[in-house]
Order: sequence, then structure tokens, then C-alpha cells
Amino acid sequence: MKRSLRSWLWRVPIEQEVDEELAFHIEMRRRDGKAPNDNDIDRARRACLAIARKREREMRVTQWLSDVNQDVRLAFRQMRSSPGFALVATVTLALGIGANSAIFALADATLLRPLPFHEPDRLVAVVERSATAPRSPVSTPTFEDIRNQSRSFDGLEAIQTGMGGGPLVTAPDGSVDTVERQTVTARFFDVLGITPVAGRTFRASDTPSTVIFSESLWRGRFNADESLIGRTVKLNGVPFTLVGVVPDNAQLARPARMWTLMRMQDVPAFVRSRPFKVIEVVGRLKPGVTLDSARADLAAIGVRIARDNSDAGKGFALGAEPLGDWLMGPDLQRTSLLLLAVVGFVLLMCCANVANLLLARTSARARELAIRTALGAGRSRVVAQMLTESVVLALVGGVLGVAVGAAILRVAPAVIPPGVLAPAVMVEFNARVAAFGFAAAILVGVLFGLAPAWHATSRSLLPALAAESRTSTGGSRFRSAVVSGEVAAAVLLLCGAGLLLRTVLVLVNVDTGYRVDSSRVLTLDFSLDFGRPNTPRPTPESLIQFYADVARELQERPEVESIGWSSSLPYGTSEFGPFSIEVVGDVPVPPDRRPRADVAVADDGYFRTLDLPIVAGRHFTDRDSSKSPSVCIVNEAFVRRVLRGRNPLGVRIRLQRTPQEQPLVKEIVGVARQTSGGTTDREEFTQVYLPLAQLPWGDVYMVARAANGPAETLTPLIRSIVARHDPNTPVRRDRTLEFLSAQSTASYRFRAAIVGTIATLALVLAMIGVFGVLAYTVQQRQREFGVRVALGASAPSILWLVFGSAGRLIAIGGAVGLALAFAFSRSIAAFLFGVPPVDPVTFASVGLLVVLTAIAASAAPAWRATRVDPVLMFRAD
Amino acid sequence: MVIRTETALAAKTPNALLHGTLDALILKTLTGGPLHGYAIATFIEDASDNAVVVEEGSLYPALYRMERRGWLEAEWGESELGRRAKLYRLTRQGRAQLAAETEAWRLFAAGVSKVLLAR
Repeated sequence: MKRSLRSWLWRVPIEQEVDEELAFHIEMRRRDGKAPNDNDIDRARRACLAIARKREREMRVTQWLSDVNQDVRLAFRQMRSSPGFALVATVTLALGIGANSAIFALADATLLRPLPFHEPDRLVAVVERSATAPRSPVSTPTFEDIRNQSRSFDGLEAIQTGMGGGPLVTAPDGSVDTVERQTVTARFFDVLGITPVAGRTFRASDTPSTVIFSESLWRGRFNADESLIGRTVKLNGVPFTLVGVVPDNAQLARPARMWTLMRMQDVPAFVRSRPFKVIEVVGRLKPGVTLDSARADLAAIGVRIARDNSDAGKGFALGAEPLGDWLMGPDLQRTSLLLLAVVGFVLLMCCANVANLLLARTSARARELAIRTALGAGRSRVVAQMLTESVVLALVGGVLGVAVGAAILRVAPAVIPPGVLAPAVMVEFNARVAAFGFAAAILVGVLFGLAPAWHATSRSLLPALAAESRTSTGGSRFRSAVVSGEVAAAVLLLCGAGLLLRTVLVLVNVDTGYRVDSSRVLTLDFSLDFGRPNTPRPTPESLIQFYADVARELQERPEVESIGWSSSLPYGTSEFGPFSIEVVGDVPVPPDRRPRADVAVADDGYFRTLDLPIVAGRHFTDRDSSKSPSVCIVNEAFVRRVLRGRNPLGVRIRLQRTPQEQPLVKEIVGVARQTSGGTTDREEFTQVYLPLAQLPWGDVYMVARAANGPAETLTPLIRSIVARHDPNTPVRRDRTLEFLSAQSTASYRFRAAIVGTIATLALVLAMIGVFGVLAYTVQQRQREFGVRVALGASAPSILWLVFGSAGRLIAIGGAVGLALAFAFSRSIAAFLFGVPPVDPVTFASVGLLVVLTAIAASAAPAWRATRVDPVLMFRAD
Repeated sequence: MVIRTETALAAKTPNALLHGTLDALILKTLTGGPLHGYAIATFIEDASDNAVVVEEGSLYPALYRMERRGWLEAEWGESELGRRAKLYRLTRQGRAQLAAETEAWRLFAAGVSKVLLAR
């Protein structure tokens, strides 16, 4: 075999060989006096050629396999022979590929993977648009209009997600817990194409007392008991019939583990108005109907609604979005893209670093390669061998990287703040992510292998073979360019991370108006029935009494410093939403031109608990009741914007949610300090507070301030006291004010944390690059330094030489990075708050940071340069 | 290859047998050492007292086929007259093949004899 391989390597063309062999045969025959048979010779020639060609093809494959085998062995031997290099390279790659795999999982879930529903392309969400909101939920009258008039849909269903929390459910083991609920119209699951795990989905003939569980609720709390289907479960003590169980992916828009039936005829009259945008609408397009034609259909319906209904609001229109886009939201999709771009950069830097390390090694191995070439290895063989080495390296890095990615994704759910991801999004490690990781590894291996391979083979053999040749300036210039590029990328990423981080700092320091220590305030969600006979609270007065009784009892406890009730919570949780405002006595303004303000009902305890001072006028008191004059408190922005700065006290205003509604007329008796609505609202927040006693309301929040210690410690006490007053009252979620505050900035923190981590990684990579190039240069220039020292150069001057070359790398890279940051920072403006995209503070800090780390990175090589022994210059190899 | 006999019987012998037989003859010939194609043909003809005539159209394809199977190795060397010639050499695989073919032929010939010479 060996012999035939050799004969193959020095082979002559097959035709020539066959011809020569047959010519010899003919000649020998002639010598023996026998005439050749031309026909026979020709037959032999053709048959031999065919066999020889087949054989050559086979040998080429065998040869290739043996080459690969040999190269792979060589690659592993190379890795073993320089473990330091192999370690740095594989760890670098593992980090890069790991980060990329994790971000890919996010992007895959939010951008790439189809929704887990039947024919998801045909599913759309229908939204309302108005002058102020590009997409909002839909009101029930509008929903019914669309259902009646639209021709584009095979089914159009509604979901009401609620504000969170949910009814109390008692499990067979006796434990009671709140379960998040959505109410949906009858064919909701059928339109999504969800098959029940057990039982059935809703039917139009079902009563409102039917319920469907999610699979996780059914398995987790009810032991997946099939016999439960058709039986009764109690929600808030009220019996419901469990008709079926559906998979968890049925939860749209918000988390839900339970669904009850929404029938249009049950919708309360006061909710049946256009400004009450309370339901989310999903539909399945008829086969063959495109999104655009559905949009045109909806637009026409929207125009009719706006024309026929004066309460539709300014800029009313209807729109449709693919369900996936609607679920993820543009913010999440943009974030995924941002992260993908950022992390891709990091992978490129990993490539550059490893390519650099390889290049340095290639230069060190220049002689080995030259000898191989001289011995007859073709250029393509050397390139193949170098590429194999880098791909093997990349694959080892890839295996580690995929493991890193899996590890990141394991801890990710704990790190990703709630509310950032839609519940239908599963960011998880799966085969797709692993495949991506390995594909990235191979691509990366080829990418960073190409430069050294090209470099190794493009040089003439002679200087490499000559013993005195020590450096290859072309290679080091290329390496310097790569490292400068890395520095530029790190600077760009750090600028982005800096801007996002500054945004978070701004948000933390935003004056929300509440003076209280937010970790000491607990908020609990209540949903109280009242006004029905034969219940604990048959009248509005009894509801107010309930609030007062619970408050008084809690207030007497030493653990509780203060307690209050309100329909709103800080940071943008509002039960009522905006009302239009008219000042009594002013010139009448048409409804759609009136200023609007958020309305909240609250008792005086709310102001005291949140330490929200009344800056003018008076507080609400016990004397503000249903029998006393109707009053309200407004905030400072209301005085500025609605009243244009006039003295507010004594001014009477008319509040209306819809033009049809009877307006509430209220006299302003006090002005509360300004608060921000949502933390990241860019507009001044106008607010009207109404006394709870004058507008009895059942869906409220309790706010309670702990006398000492963390707020959470109050929960058991409050639950027990509430239960003593009414055992059937669900106390829903308990959250601290601190949590609410953090949640309102969660997506900003999330972005800053991730981009910050990645940018730090990039900085480390860039500095490894700087270090690598300097260390290599110092090693290559040992003789030169030796000569300099021998000729009397001082240590500082040698130091200066090394720092000087580091300075050039950093200066060029830094300048390019800052220029890029100037050019591109505007593209992340949507993620910033209170920080200009071109922020001198951020950019200057990044510059300083990079210079400092660069000094650190070059310290070791510089120190080594000063320690070069001048004797070295006399030594041969 | 043509088996020249007094009767026309051989012309009706199945082709596969002839192929295999030629292969075996070539392998047997090469046990004496490397030879070029013409020498192989001459040796077989001489050794068979010209009962077997080896034609080029069969000989060379057989040599190439056996080289591809790894039974033979080819190398350019010098002929007995100092000319450049392609010499074939038996490989270990080739030796094994020869043993197998020889055994097969022995069984075949014995079988044929038994039938033809039966009384």
C-alpha cells in the first residue's frame, strides 16, 4: 500500500502510462517476430484506462481520508505540545460560543421559531389604534362590530387578561392559593388550534361557571386526576365545573393557569363602551386571506366605527399584527436583535484573538512549515493541515461553548426579570441551540484558520529556512491591525453598555415623588364583591366599612406603621385609566379636545403610607363620605397643565370617562406632590385622587408600611386579619414597592446587565489580544532588546518602547471605536432614558477604562522586555 | 485468452471461468518474481505448450483489474534487455487469492473429470 501511494504521488498521466506499457508490449512482440493485433491492442487500451481511472478516484478518497486523519492527529499533538496556547484558545472560544448559544436561544424563541400553534401564520392579533397609543386592547362593542362585519376571519376570539392575581383555588390537599386567570370567549382554544390534554375546550352552550385548567396547574396541584373532569372546583368559594385541561402554551400575553368563559351577554353594561379597552382579540385568517387584505378589511370597519360613534376617540383605527409579533412586542424583538449583534461582535473578537494566537504560533512554526513545503507538501496540503488544526481547536471550544451556553440557559430564568418575556416564549437549551453552537464553532474555526494558513503559505521559503530570520513584519502588522480592531469593537460595546448603564442609574435616581423607603412598603391585590344581597358586603357602605375595619385593626398592631387603600399603585398600575377633564365655569371644550388625567380612588392612609405630602390644601378625612360634598385632590402637574397655574383650591372639575357617562363633579380641596406615572414615562403625569368613601370600589390595592424590618414580614399578619373579617376574600399577590419599582425598570436593567457583561467580556478579549501581540513582539525582538541593553539602553527606555507599541494599538483602536460609537449610538436611543445617545461622560469614561486596562495588559510584556539578557544576542539558535 | 484444443468444446466454457482462470494463471506466473505484461503472456503460452494463447485485450485489463483489487502492485523498472517496462509483483493479498483459485480449480477439475471419465 505504501509503495502504491508513493507511485501515486509521483504519478504520470494515466494515458501516457497505458500507452507506454502497450508500446513496450508491441515492440517485444515485433522482436519475437509476431505481428500485433491492432484491434486487440485498442480494446486493451480502452479497458485499462477505464479501470485505472476508477482506481485513481478511489485512491483520491483514501488519500483524503488518510490526510484528514493525519491532520487531526497532528492537531491534537500540537495542542498537547503547547497546553497554554490550547487552554487560552479553547476557553476564549468556549466563552464566545457559549454567549452566542445563549443569545441565540433567546433570538430563536422571540424571532425565529414559529408559535406552538396550528398554522401560526394565519393567526393575528387585532388592535385598536388611537392618536396617543399605536396599539391598545379592544373595547367590547368594537369587538362585536368586527365580529359582525369582518369577512377575513375563520374565527375571532377575545381574551381578558385581568390585572394579575386571580381567584383562590383550593387543591385536594387542602392548600389554598391564587391562580392566574384569563377569561376567554368560547372558541378561543379552537381558533388557536390547541388540543386539550384532557376533557374538552369550551362550547358556546357552556355556562359562565365552567373552567379550564392549564396542564401545569392540573399536574402540579391536582395530581393529573382525570376523574376531576366534569366535577366541581371552587374559585373564591364559588363552584365551577372543570371541563378540560389544555397545554401551558395556551397562555397568551400574560401568565395564566386557568381560563373561564367570557360570554358577551354577561359583560357588565358599564364596560360596554368604546373607551373601555379591556379585551385582547386574536383571530385566524381564512385560508388564502393575506394579512394585508385583513388589514384593509379592518381599516374599513374602523372608519365606519369612527364615523358612527363619537366616543371612539381621536385617531381611532383598527389594525392587525401577526400574533408572534404582537406576543413578543417590538421591544423584545429589538432587544433580541441588539443582543444578537452585540454577541456576534464578541464571537468575531474571539475569532480575532485565536487567529492572532495562531498567527503568532505560525510564525514560530515558520521553519517547520517551510521544511514540509520543501519536502514536497503542496500548498493546499499545508493550508488543509492548518485549517484542520483550527477547526479541531474550534470544535473543542465548541463542545465547551455549548456546555457554557446550556449552563447560562439553566440559570437564565432566574436572571431574566418577570414581564420581560411573554409567557409563550420558552428560552431553553435544545437541539437547535446545540446545532447552532456547533455550526458557529466550525464556521469560526475556518474563519480564524484562514488567516494563518494563508499567511503561512504565502511567504517565500528562503528567509524561513535561513537561521537568522527571526521576524516577519508582514505578519505582525496584520496582527496589530486585528488587535486594533478588537479594541475598537470593545470600545464600541463599552460605549453602548455605558449608555445603558447610565440609563439605569438615571432611572434609579428618578424622583418618583414617593419619599418612603420602598423596601418597607408591601402592596396586596384585593378584589372584593359588594352590593349583592346576602353577601358579607351587601351595600357600598359596608364595603367602605370593611376597608376601615381592616385598616383600623392593622393600624393597632405594632408591626404596622401605616396602611392605606387605593385603586392605583406607583409606577403605572392604574385601575381606571384616564378621564377627560372639564373645569366648571370655563368655556366649554369639545370632548375630544379636553385634557385628560389618570384617576385613582384612595383613602388618606395611602398618602401617609407612601409618604406623599399634600403641598396645598387638605388631606382626605373621615368626614369625606357619600353624604358630604364631592371632593378630590390633584397633583402638581394637574395644576400646571390643566389649570394653567391658577389657584386650584375650590375649583370644581367635571370628570368623564366617556361622553355618554354622567360626569362626576368634584371640588379640588388639596394638591399632592408630583409623582411620576411609570418610571420611564417621558411626559408629566397628571393625576386626580378621589376619596375611596365617595366612589366605593372593590378592585383595590392595600399598601402597608412595616414599622421595622422588611415589608414581606407583614403578609401572614395581613392575611390572617383579612380572613378574620371575611374568610372568602382572596388576598392576591403581595409585592413590595421595591419590587414594583424594579419591575418598572426591569427591561432596562436586563439590557444593561447583559450588554454590560458582554462588553466586559469584549474588553477582556481585547486585552488578551493586546497582551498576546506584545508578548509575542517582545519575544521576537529579544535580540534587538539585548543589543540595545548591551549598547547601554536604560530599562525605562526599553519599557517605553513596549508601551509605545501598545499605545499605538490602543490609540488607533480606541479612535475607531469612539467614531463608531458616535455614528451608531443613535440606533439604541429607544433603549435610553435621560441620557443623550452621544454622551461625553460615558465616552470619556470608556476611553479612560480602556487606557487603564491596556496599561495593565502591557505591564507584563514590558517588564519582560527590560529583563532581556544581553548575552542572548551572541547565542545562536 | 483462447484455449486452443482439438475440439470446439472450450469455446462454450462459461466466461467467468475463463476470467478467473486467466487471473489464476497470471498470479501463478508472478510467484516466480516480478514480470512485465509481455513476459507474463509468453510464460503462460510456453508453460502451457501453447495450449493457452493470451491476447492483449484480455491480459492487460486483467492486470489492471487485479492491481485495483490490491492483488498486484505495478512499478516501472528495467526489463531483462535494459528497457523501461512496467513490472507486476504479487502482493500478500494476491498470494492468498492464488491459493483460493488453485483450490477452486482443483475441485472444479476433479468434478469435471469425475463426470467425463465416469463409465
